[in-house]
Amino acid sequence: MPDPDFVAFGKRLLRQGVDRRYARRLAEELAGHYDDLRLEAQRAGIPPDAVAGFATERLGSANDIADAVGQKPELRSWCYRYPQFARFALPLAFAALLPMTPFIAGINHAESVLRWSCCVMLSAIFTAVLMLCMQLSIVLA
Amino acid sequence: MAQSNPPFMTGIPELLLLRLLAHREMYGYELVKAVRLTTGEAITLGEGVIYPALHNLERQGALKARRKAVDGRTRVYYSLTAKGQRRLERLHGEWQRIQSGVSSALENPGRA
Repeated sequence: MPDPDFVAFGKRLLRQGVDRRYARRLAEELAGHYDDLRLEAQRAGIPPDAVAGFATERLGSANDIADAVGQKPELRSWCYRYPQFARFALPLAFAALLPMTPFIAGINHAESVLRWSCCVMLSAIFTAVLMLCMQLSIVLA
Repeated sequence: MAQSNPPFMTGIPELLLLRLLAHREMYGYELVKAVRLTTGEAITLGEGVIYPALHNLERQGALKARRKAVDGRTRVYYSLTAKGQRRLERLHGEWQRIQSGVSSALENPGRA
């Protein structure tokens, strides 16, 4: 039996609307618990090919755990708990952030912005030198 | 196959978790083992299902969680808060009241 995919389970919880903090932690804790159950099985002398089955059965099915999370509305992210408010507040927040976007993009891509600025400066210097040469050639001719 | 718990179990896992955590801080796997041991395996919690219950209690302020590295592994340890202690006392009182009422009804059914 293959080991359960706890990363995929965490993503499933996120799609269910569970708060990112709890979804991530739950996936981590389940993975740790699964490792403990595997160790317990090995210590109990369970054959290696049955260890994963033992641990998976004791941990419970992903559906049961996801249902248990679904029964706790407090664990959902605020967007899912207050959808009407989210529909109103999120567009407003994004509208307020819109003028900041170039700055945010600049911070996130500082290296690209710096490279682009250097290229523009070099081309400006090249143009200035070219213009100066042309000017000199006119004056000295 | 593990015997499933009866349907009137609602609220009992929470009471047990709070009671065990009042004694000392524990992580999920340790808590499940402690529940099995202290109840003589009369109550078997779905092991993975314990985490939503713990997170919910933490969200409500009854528990606090902290990460701790032990033997090269990072675990999330839960402990009771003052709010959790008050909740435990209230639930314990309710449980004793219900338990004595049900016991009385089961032992003396002819009193009605």
